[in-house]
Amino acid sequence: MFRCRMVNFLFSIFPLKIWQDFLLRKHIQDCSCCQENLASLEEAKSLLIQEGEVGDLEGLWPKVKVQLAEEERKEKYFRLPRWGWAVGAAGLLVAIILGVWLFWSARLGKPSEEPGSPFQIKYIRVHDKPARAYLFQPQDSNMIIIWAEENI
Amino acid sequence: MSDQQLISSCLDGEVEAFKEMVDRYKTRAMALALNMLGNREDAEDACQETFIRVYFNLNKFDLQSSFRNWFYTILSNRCLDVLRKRRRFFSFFKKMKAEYSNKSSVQSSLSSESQPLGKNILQGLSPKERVVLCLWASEGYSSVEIGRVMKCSPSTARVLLYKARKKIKYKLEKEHVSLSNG
Repeated sequence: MFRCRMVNFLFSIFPLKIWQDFLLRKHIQDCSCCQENLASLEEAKSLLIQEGEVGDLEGLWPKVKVQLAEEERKEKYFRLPRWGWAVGAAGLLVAIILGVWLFWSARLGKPSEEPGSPFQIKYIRVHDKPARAYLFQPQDSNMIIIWAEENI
Repeated sequence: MSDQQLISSCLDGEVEAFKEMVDRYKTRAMALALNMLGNREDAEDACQETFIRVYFNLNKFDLQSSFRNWFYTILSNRCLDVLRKRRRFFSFFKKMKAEYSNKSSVQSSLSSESQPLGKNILQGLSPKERVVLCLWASEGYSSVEIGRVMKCSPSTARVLLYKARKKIKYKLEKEHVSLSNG
């Protein structure tokens, strides 16, 4: 009796399944005293609804049949759009990649408009002879005037 | 015709074979669902859903394994889903009820009194304990088979069954004492 109490106490204080199962196998399942505290198969059965008590179930198959037809119809209906969605998603992805590529290529091809970017004239020739170059930029303007003068 | 033959026929698209399968399993499915859920409407819905899931997943079923176990796995999962949803609803309902505590406490005590003894006792078990108890008592499953159905280890099934049986015994004795005291 003391041992049973001890086992029950140990069972309740460590809620670890492996530990509880160990106690069950080592003591509880073979102890008549502990078994008295458990509902028997007959007692459990008496609480449960048995197969003979479930009543009429004739209406179940027609309902299942209707739902099956409905689910199959849905599946057929959604089969094509599912492919359509996949194609659409792929198309969208291609469009995005193409857009990004076009944007970057256009950006790289354009002369830079950022202020302070390097502006360079390697040489200027007037009448096939090297000439002097003067650059003028009016205040508050992006316009640049290049003045070329013959070397006399 | 064996379950495996029926499944093969179903996979060939024979609806009549599936009807036979429904007829074969509907009673035990309904009994388990009723014991789990406690009301007929939910139990019928759960059975219906289970059969639909079975039909659309038959191609995934391994013909070498037990169909009955596979069927019970789907059914018990469905019932556990229903109970989970119901619990969420009741926790919301309890919050609402707190505002009207006087009226509804009287109503709830009345409704719990009017329930049959077995149903009342089963409601004291956790959903998983209920599944384990039903499989053990109604189907005669061992802890190994229960573990297979519930996708848990046999030791977990054994512990759940022990707890369920202990709770039931305690409640039965309590009811017995209260009845004998008048």
